Amino acid sequence: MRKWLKNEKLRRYLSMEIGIEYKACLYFFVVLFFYCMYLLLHGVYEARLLHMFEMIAATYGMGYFQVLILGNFDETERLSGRQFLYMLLCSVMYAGLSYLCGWFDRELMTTAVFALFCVAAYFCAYLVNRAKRDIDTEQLNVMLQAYQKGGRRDECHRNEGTDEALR
Amino acid sequence: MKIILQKTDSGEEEIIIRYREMTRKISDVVKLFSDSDSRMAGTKDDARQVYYFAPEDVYYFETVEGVAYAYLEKEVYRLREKLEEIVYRYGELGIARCTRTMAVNLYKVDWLKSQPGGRILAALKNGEKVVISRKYAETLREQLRRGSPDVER
Repeated sequence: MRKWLKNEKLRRYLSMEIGIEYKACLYFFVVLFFYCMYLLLHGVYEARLLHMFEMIAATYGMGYFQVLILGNFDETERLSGRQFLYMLLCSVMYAGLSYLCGWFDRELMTTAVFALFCVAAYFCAYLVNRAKRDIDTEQLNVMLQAYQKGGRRDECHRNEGTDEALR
Repeated sequence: MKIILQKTDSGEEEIIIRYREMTRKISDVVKLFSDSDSRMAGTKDDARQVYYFAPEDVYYFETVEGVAYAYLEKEVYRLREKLEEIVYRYGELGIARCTRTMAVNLYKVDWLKSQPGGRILAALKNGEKVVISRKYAETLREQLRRGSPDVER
């Protein structure tokens, strides 16, 4: 491990920051996909850079909000009522931002569909994270079993020693 | 039983036991000295008597208010060693750090479960559950990946 990464506080901070960056990229792609689909359906083949900048800023800010205030709900172990409410809240916030920034020309119907799309995206992210943990759990248990079957290096030597003494 | 102690200035220290019949008591003494390096000593609540036990029998170690305790299947012993020393000394026996105040015996772990935030939940064979913090989960994964009872020193 690199020397500067041994600082526990710095490591924790970087770990959180990378997690938020990852979230921002993921949800930016989700929002951008919807935005591009909206433009294509309206026969527009150019995306506005300003809108894209607003989107990345929104997803980055929302990442902080999710991790620091809403308990990282899309990576939770179980999806309870509270987590579902957080999903709705964030989706409504994204929809509100899209309306304010005019990403979908302030069309109410599109904004509502976008909100539903965000809920679905959050739910998919939750399922993907859970699947990822399930795979990790399986690997962990395979490694644990292999470790336990490996036996202790000194176990046989110690038994030999005791047997010898008891003889 | 007669006990003879003889001081020696040179040569290896040795214990000679002369016996007519191998009894449980003598067998225990033999066991105690034949693997003295790997046996742990602990006290119970009254702290009057010292109990010896194998570190392999410990499910987990925990530090409470600066004092380390060993949790066996039924008994709990208060130890003199610090948690760092225990992990350092008995790491080869599968003792791995799981939080700042806990170390778990990997041979007593029934199953592991990946948790959000990089943590790992470890279910012990006695039914207890221990959460391995993100910081130590990385080291544990590395230890398991190596598949050898070696521990970083």
